[in-house]
Amino acid sequence: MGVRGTVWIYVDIFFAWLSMLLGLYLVDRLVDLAPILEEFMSRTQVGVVEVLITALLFLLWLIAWRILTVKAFRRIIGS
Amino acid sequence: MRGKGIVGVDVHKPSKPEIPERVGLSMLVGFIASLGLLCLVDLSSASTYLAVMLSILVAAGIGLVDDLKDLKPLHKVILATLSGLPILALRAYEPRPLIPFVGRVRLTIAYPIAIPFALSVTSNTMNMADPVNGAMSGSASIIITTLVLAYLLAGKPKGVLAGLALLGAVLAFYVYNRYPARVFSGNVGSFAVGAALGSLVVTNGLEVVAVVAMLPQVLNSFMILSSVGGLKGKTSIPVRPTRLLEDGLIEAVKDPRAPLTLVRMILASSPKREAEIAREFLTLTAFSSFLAIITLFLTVEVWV
Repeated sequence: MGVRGTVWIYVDIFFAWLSMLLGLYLVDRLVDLAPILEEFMSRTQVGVVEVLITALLFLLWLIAWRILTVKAFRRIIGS
Repeated sequence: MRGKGIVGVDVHKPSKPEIPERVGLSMLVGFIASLGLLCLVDLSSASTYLAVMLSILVAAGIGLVDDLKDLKPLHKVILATLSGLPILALRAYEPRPLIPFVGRVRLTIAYPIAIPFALSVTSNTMNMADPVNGAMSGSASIIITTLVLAYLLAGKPKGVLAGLALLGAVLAFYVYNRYPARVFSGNVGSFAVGAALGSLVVTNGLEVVAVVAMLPQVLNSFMILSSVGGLKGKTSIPVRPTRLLEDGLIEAVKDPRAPLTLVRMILASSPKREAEIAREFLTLTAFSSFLAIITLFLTVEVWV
């Protein structure tokens, strides 16, 4: 990573914040797609799909944040 | 506390001084007094202040039991959910959180179900974020200040008043808890502060803003849990994350079995003194609080 000191933690937190906002933006787009999806599915099914996709995005966010943090930490500490 | 033998060893100092423990009880007295006064002054919102007060009392009770009996981590997580019950019982919540970009969402079923878990998360997160002198009380002061500012900008006077009531007690405690600490909060204090934060947000809204402000604390607890493989007590973790050197510096342990804590991350590049670690902890919280205020500006409905 090449970043010394604690700057990498600020970058890590900034990444978490930015990706959280991106995820929320994607959820917003998903909500906009609901009327189109309702042509193929019932309203309840669309709701379930929305919740599942949101949960999936949250899990992906957690995994990505963990991978980035652990990799950066190992690079800095040198082990 | 010292007279009664209720002391804790300050492990990050070479002389290993004994410091009065469980002084977080003083914060609890401050919370109760100021929220009680608000109940009397602002009768129309008394149920909200009462719900916050009772949540804090329940969490502090669990923290006190933990101080006395050393509860298992899983028991702490489960018991801390009880602190959400006063908010549910008094219906002191609005199940329509404001989300950036998305706007206001209706969660009439999911929101009340999530409240006990949210309170458990904030209580345990603040309990885990107290590794060096002043880290917990200082970062809580910054987060509450951010929330007060956010409620002020969003036109939520109830949140501003409740936040200020909590801030006074935490700031007063920080004066004695900052490096070099003259008092320790104990689990009773950190649980009370965690519940104070959680109940303030649940009863007044701006949930995402609060999550962003607490990102360093969330990062700390999430990384600890994921690196040790779940909820484990100190005794079942084979390697400590940091080590005190003879010259008073603290260094990160390189053993990959050590938990990945925020302090270990701060020390990754070089050993540091405890005061430097505490300062870094607070600066990181100030940074995330700045991001939280930007998040507030992205929460469109606040400005409409």
